[in-house]
Amino acid sequence: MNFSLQLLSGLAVGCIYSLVAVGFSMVYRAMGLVNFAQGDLMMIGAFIGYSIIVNLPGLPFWLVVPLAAAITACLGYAVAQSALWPAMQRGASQTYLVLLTLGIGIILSNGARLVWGANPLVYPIPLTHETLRIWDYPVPAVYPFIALTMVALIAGLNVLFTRTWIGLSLRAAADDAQTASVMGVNHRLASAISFALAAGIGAAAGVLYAPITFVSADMGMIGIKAFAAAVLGSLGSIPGSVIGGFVIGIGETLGGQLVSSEYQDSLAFLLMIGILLIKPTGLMGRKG
Amino acid sequence: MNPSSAGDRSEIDRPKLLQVCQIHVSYVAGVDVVHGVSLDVNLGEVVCLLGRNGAGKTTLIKALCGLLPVNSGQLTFDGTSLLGVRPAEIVAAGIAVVPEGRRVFSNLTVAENLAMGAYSRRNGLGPSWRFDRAYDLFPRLAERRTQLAGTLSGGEQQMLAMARALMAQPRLLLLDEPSMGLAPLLINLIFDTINRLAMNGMTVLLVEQNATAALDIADRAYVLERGTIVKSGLAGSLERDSEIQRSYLGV
Repeated sequence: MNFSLQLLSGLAVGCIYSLVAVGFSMVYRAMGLVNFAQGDLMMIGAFIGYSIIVNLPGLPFWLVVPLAAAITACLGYAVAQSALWPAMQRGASQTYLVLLTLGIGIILSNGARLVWGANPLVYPIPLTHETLRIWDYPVPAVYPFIALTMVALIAGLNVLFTRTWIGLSLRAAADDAQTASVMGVNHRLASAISFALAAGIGAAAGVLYAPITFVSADMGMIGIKAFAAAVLGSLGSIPGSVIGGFVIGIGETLGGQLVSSEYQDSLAFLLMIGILLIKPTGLMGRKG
Repeated sequence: MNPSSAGDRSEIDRPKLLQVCQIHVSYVAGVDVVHGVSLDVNLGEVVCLLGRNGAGKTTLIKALCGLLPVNSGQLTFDGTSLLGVRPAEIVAAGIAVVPEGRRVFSNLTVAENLAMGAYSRRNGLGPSWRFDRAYDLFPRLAERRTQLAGTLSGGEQQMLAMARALMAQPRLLLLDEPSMGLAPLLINLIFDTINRLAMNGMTVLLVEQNATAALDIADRAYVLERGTIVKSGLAGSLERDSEIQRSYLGV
């Protein structure tokens, strides 16, 4: 029946939401701000992926993902260093910082419209149209890429954050920036690296999402759903963001199937509201 | 406790490790919290800084580890000026701090906290995770190595904050109110440990409100009031000072 196919598609889109949500949580932990440009950084990543595919036609898709992620991470680093850090240093309140990230998002999406045009683009690679047969159902051929990248990224982040100096210093600075700086951690650099990592992860999600949809300057709207995923999983918790992404992804796909696909977007937010009503601190939230 | 041992240690002529000369420190421009403080810490000494809440003790400590800028005056560590030097370079030069309120990284495990203490001495990609000396000093931490630091008791967090500071292999250890909020038994343990470190040659600048315990292990002491040093001398003589007894020792 159709159910397993829907479940697979929910899982795939859940991976995308998860990755973008992880970016929300990382920046929230590291800089204490909700970065509403996260979805637009994902969109930029998808466009950069498009340009890489067009300019380097022979490059295998599994190399396009990290390349686009690295370029977007550099962009994220520049945004953090040039716009966010100076504002934080001058003691900008949360409201202004959120507005600042919204503004950055608008610049990014309009910038993308200028560079890549207003028309939606399709990745000119076979992967866009190819399907695999799983249990006799046709499934987009990009799904295994999504699953593998998801697993590799989460495993990689886990090693980074628990085994390496750089990851430990990012977590320590996120916990208590002043004390971390007394240990020798450069807070500004740690914030910018966290922001860049989040942008890179978002970009990877964008490149992976592109073959099952199309690339457009409005793609950043996904960021809102990913934000809902991060919040219902407890903003700031990376496992929570992953779980939240799957809850939203699977919930909206199956729910859309049961009710009507027109309500798919509303269902995502209904899920968030429902979960927060039952557990106000989110799925991974602590008491108090 | 052998009171003569502290006296013996201070009688040897020692080189100056930390020299603070007429420094002014402020949080907000124009409002000095510390004004014109001068003090010395000699190699191998335990120096205690007494003072009430708001006297400027923590402000001074923050200036020493580079968290607050020094507006004027001189700050020298082992012959090198610390003025305008960033916290990362100060810890690398050999000054480690046990901050007021412990400030352990609560979302990191005990072992990860210790690793962060050694951040200034990092090499390679990641920490080695061999913290034998820290675990020998506080065996309790070894039992709790995989536990999140935020779940430790106050006393255990204080042990962790001390062990973490020692991971930097400092030549000068700054301790800001290590006994704050601890049960008497744990206060004894903490002061015994400071004393043991001092016996092994560690130089210590200890900020305390618990004057009795602090003067017991210190060689010399300074009294800070409203941002200036109002009294200084050998710990033993300050302990007998009637004014100190009245204001700080509750006699």
